[in-house]
Formats: sequence, C-alpha cells, structure tokens
Amino acid sequence: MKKLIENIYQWFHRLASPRWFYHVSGKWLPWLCVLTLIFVSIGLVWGLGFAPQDSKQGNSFRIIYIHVPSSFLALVGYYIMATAGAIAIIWKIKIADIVMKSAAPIGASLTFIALFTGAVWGKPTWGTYWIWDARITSMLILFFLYLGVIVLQKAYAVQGLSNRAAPLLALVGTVNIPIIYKSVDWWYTLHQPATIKFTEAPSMHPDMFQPLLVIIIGFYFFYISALIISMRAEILYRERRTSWVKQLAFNARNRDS
Amino acid sequence: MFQFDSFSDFIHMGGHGQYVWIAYFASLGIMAWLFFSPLLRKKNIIKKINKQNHCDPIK
Repeated sequence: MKKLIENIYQWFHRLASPRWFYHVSGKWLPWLCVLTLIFVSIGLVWGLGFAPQDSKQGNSFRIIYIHVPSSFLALVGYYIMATAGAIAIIWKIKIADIVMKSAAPIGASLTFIALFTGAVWGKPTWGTYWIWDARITSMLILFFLYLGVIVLQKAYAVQGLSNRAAPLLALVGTVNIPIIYKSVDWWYTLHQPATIKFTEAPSMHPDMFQPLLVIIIGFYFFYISALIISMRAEILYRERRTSWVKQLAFNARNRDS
Repeated sequence: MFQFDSFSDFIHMGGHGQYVWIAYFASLGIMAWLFFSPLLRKKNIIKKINKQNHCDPIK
C-alpha cells in the first residue's frame, strides 16, 4: 500500500515537471494535429456541403458547425483554465500555472468566435447582429473574464510577483459557466434552447447532427493541440536558463543549419 | 448527397453566402493564428537562446 502511494506521488511529481511534459507532449502533438485536421475537415465539408439545409433558416444554419463547437470549447476551456489556476495557487505547481496562461488566449479567441459567428448568424435569422439576452450577454461577460485573466497575468509577469490575482479572477468567474449553460432554460431568451442534452436525444435531425458531432470532436482535438503548442513555447521560455533547454536549443540549431 | 446544384450555388448559399463565408473564414483564420503564433514564438525563443549562449554570428 505504501509503495502504491509512493508510486502515485512519483507520477504526480513527474507530471508536474515542465521538462517531462515537454518531452512527452512532443511525442503526442503530431498525432493530435493530424486528428484535428481530419475531424475538423470532415465535419466542415460534411456540414457545409452535405447536410440538408434548415426548413426555416435555409443555408445560414450552416454557421452552426462553427458556432456550437467554439461555444462548447470556450466553456470547457474556462473550467480548464480555472482549475489549473486553482492547482497553481494551492499546490504551487509550475505546469499548472503554464496551463492557465496558455488556456486564456485560446479560450478568449473561441469565445470571440462564438460571439462573432452568433452575431453573423443572427442577422439573417433574427434581423439583428446583437441583442442583450441572457445567453449572449453572459457569453460577453465570459469574454471579458478571459481578457481579465490575460491582462492580470501580463501585469504580474512584468513585475515578477507571485501571481494570485489571475487564478482568483478565473475561479470567481466559474459561476458564469452554469449561468451561460442554463440561461436558455431559466429565462425567456431570443437564443434558442439547447439542442444537445445529456439526458435526451438531440432535437435535431440526424443528418444535421452527425457532422456537428464530428466537428465538435475536431474542436476538442484542436483545443488540446493549440494548448500544447502554446505550453511548449512557454516552458522553453520559463526554463530558458536551464541546461536541458540550452542543450535543446543547441541541437535545434545544428539540425536547421 | 451534395446539397447544391453547382459550385456557384454553393458559394451563393441560397442568398446567405456573405454570412456563412464571413463567419467561416474569420473563425478559421483565428484558429490558424492560435495554432501558428505559438509555433513561431517557440522558434524565436530558441533563436534567442542560441544567440545568447553560443555566440551565433548575427544572421
């Protein structure tokens, strides 16, 4: 039993090492990128060209194939960022701080994509690019929360102080996620209710739903890939004075020249 | 089965083409930036490390 606990402790410690993460992520990354490309391309082509158009909305409905996956990942990504931030302040694990730093711009961009595609979709559907309904407003708040985390991190990086403000903001903001998710059920909103539920079958025709599922998976792979790429750069930056990074840079130079 | 009668129909998207394509291109552009910007950053970091540590001649 004691050996088991020791092993878990060791594995946890290794996971927390930026050098170990850099080494292991380098092996996984090419595959993740390939999977991203495959799932996103198939989902896009299928949704754009082969899914039937909507009886009421016509072809503008195809924006769903970007709007829904980006929204999902914006929400999931926020939890990832906040959890990483919590781990960073509670246990002072370096890699968690790096996860939080990398997750912030990715989540902010995905939130922006969700808001932008939603606005563009709203114009032909509802006649307006914007409305202050519950879901859309709370998504805008999410965008500002992401920006706040990014800005706070930059401020502390410049001053070199221990960064507690950004994780705290991230944690405080997590209350927003269930609000976004349930807003279409709790309030009378212009944004339509959820089509994809955990407990029931989706209220969308399978010919429309299947490509959506494919591209949602693609976006998950995209998120992980983008996160890892960003983390690898950040690790090299933070560990730039260590011998393993200097050696790595030296090897890279010899390979490229 | 392909939903459009021709390629120009596909671009036209039944009148909604401008909305669909602006949404798609802006989003895919941002996603590409999210992918390539940190790759570039890593390359620059490595270049800087080498310049500082191995006295590379200025390229």
